[in-house]
Amino acid sequence: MANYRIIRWFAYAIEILVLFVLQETPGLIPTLGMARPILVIPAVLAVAMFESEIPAMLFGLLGGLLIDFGIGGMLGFHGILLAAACYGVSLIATNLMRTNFLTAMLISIVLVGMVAPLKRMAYPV
Amino acid sequence: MKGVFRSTGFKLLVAVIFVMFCLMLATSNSSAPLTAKLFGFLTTPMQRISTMLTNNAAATVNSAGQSKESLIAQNQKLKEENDELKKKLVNYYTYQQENAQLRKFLELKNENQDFKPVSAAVVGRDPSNLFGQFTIDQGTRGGVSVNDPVVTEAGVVGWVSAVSSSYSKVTTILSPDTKISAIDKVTRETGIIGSDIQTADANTLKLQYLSVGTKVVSGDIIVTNGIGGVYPRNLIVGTVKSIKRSQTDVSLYAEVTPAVDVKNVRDVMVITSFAGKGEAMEAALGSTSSSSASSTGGK
Repeated sequence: MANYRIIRWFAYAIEILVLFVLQETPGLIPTLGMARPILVIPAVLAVAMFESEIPAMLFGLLGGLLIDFGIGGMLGFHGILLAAACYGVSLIATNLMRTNFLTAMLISIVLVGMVAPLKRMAYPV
Repeated sequence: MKGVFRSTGFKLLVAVIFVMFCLMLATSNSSAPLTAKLFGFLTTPMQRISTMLTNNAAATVNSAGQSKESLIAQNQKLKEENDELKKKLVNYYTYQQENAQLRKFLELKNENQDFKPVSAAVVGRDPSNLFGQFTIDQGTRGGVSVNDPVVTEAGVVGWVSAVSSSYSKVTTILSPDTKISAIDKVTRETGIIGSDIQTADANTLKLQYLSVGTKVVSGDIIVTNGIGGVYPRNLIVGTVKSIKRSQTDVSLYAEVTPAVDVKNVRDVMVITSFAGKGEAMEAALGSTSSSSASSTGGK
């Protein structure tokens, strides 16, 4: 069981890494106006819905640090946000909410809605 | 949900937030922190492959979406553009060479304000000619006339022996027909620069009629002395290689290595006018005509 869990986590890490590479590849994913998808956020949130708090937080941290690296400059802003968010999502999913596609979508929308204004504050244009 | 704030996970979250906050502070002024380098080490090769694949795929999709006719038209257009760029490149190299040549000539002109130079390129060279005679692309239309000296920034090349409207023949200093009054810049000894088939074959010249007690030594620079009015003074002819005894008389001669490789020169300058040009010839012609006039008058 423990081995299976390690393989799963390893697969999650690879998935997050691949999604990060895809989102950073210029010209691969079409943009909508100025908006471009950040694939890592829904991925770590989806992982958080099926994992316990500590792994969820660590995957959130990994995804957040990757996003910070992609932006360049200061590291840690998205790391804090996604680590805390994934910890919270994991708790909610375990105790309060069903895990399905709809709830995953809702959580993603809410979280991106929270991250975007905070990001504006951290990285003023 | 009870006891969340006392759980290990929450404590770990607080610790992570604290560490991340410290990382934010530490990296806010750094352009490439160690953590970023670590992430870069992991992700950059993958990104490179991903970008390459994307670019190839985009190129394939673009070309697949075009019709055969448009591809042919595009190909034709690119070929024309390529031809045009090649022409421009040829012009660029021509101008580059011309620019470099003119810069050198400008220096020579600045040093000799009385010179009226015409820049010319070597357009023909007879391979069977032992003395390196060649054709240049300037003729009477460029102001060139027979007996004009031909030089480069390095020194004397020869003289114009035949001229037409658009080209001229240049006889080099290696030819036996060339005689230049020259002077050793160090010892001030004078002599006549000439050549024969053997020295021309060895790509050397002779500074003839040196006295037995000559002080000319190897390494001395030989320049024109301007007497005769064919060559301006102080143009470098070459450097002395060795001193030898003449086989026909008691004088000595110096073997001189020409300053210019006349057999391979590509760009030259014809000095169409300079101070003192043709003075000796005019004097000679004047004395001849006056003597003939006096003889006529005597009849």
